[in-house]
Amino acid sequence: MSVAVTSPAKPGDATSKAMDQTRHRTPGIGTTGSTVGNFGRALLPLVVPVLLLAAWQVASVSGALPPRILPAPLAVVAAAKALIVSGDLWRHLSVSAARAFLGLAVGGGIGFALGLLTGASKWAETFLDGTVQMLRAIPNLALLPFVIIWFGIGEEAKTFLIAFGVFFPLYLNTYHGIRSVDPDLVEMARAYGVRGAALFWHVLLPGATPSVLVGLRFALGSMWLTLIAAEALAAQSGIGYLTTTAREFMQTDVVLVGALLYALLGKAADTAVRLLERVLLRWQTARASN
Amino acid sequence: MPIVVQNVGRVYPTGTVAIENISLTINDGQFVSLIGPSGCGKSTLLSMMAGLDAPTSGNLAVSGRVGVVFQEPALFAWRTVRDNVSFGLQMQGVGKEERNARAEAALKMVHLSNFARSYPHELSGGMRQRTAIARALVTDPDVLLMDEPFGALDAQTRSLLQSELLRVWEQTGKTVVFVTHGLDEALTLSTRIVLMSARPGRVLADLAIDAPRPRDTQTDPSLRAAYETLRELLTKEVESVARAEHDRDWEGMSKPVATAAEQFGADI
Ligand SMILES: Nc1ncnc2c1ncn2[C@@H]1O[C@H](COP(=O)(O)OP(=O)(O)OP(=O)(O)O)[C@@H](O)[C@H]1O
Ligand SMILES: [Mg+2]
Repeated sequence: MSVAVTSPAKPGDATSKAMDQTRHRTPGIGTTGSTVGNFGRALLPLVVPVLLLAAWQVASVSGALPPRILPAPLAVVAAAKALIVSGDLWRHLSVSAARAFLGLAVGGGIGFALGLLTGASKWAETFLDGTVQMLRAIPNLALLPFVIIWFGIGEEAKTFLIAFGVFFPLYLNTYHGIRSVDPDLVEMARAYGVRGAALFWHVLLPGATPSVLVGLRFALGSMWLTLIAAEALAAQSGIGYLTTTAREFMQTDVVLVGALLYALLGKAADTAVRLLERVLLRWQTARASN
Repeated sequence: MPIVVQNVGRVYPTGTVAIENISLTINDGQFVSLIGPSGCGKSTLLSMMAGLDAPTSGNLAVSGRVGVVFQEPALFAWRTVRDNVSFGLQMQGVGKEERNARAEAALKMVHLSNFARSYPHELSGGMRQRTAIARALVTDPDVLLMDEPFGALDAQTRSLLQSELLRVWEQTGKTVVFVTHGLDEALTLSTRIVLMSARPGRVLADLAIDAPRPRDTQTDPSLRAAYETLRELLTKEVESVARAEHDRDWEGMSKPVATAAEQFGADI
């Protein structure tokens, strides 16, 4: 009796040849042909933006797109250069960044702390969570008139608005993070006599960390939007001041530099959170090192 | 005598009488399996032994250190296998070097030395459960409490872990209380089987199992006999639960329920 068992195909036999061909067609790192292909593919997403920029530049130079509506790309580059040389760019950028992070530290800090409290203590939840959920319904910018009455239009007003905006995402995600820690883990830890502060440090807090970082991401989004609105309201310095003044003088190129600076700050903060995630959530992606 | 249970009852705040008057004395080095229909209070009894829950009546005393293995491995996703295993030691304030050494030794017992630096998500279900067993062993407990530790595993992994557990038990002479739904598993492992009634849980049968090892539950006549006794009692118990739940229409139900109960008895 002969039993058909899958055996390594002999070279030259029909199936093995067909398999070899498909293998050759599959692009993979390490084969010369496909390295060029990969490089080309990496450039592919850049084609449309480059074409758009070129068309925009041509339209500006030809006069079809007046600088009052939209400045030429090269004019924006020149404006940025001038701002860098004068030192204004760095000054305004750092003022705006400092504002944003002060608001984040205050509002995010309080949100995180309260989230830990209501997440870890049933009593605190009953006492506080309802109130917080009610306040959450208010968009922070809707408070603008009150903020102006309370704080005027100075730095406190901006800090308050940003703090109010970042508070909720951090509060909610911290609270949910603590609440969704696997009850089996808590039970297991209790079997080792772990309670109170030790339970918090070794079980609840690390268990909530992924969720807290999600909250931080959301908070950053809210932080930049609020900053832009607050700086448009009134400012003696910062990117918002730069663009408001430029708008009054019809310097559209500087306005666009301001928009790019906000984008840059947003991107930088997002990258920072990603790095933080990579450090704190190493275990999610780590591969066995042995 | 490491575990003494005296007229213990447990009524939950919901009014559910989970356990009613159980008395048991478990001696040093015994391997006791607790079996019984679902919901009869096995987990409740075990968590009272672990000190996670207190009886509402009667007395319960466990002497010596206790290690617990739950049905779910309950590992910290953010700790490596080794740091999961050494958790209990860390909580006891044992220094880093000593606890690493002891964790490695415990991992060796369950054949996981090569995965000490891995994270739980990199392990298979069986390896996770072995990690949980190593974690329970690392504090060198006198009593090992296990609640359906192999319930979620495939047959091959389960029998592998059964023999590993037996080896550890034979080497260390620990007292083991082992909740299971598998009659075969209980017969293979235990020196004693305690059968609980349907809720409220009482002790229905208490059998000493002294067949020689390694055991073959299919061929050993004393194990066959114990199997038949236990299965019959269990089937009756499950039927009585089913009858209580379906007493309106027991006649019509009797056949399918009896079949289900038989299967349940064979491998619950
Ligand atoms: N925290 C609780 N509150 C109220 N009732 C509970 C609680 N825990 C368990 N019970 C009830 O107590 C009874 C016994 O539960 P237990 O978990 O001990 O059963 P078990 O024998 O382990 O069941 P299984 O074999 O399905 O795991 C069940 O009827 C259950 O509904
Ligand atoms: Mg149970």
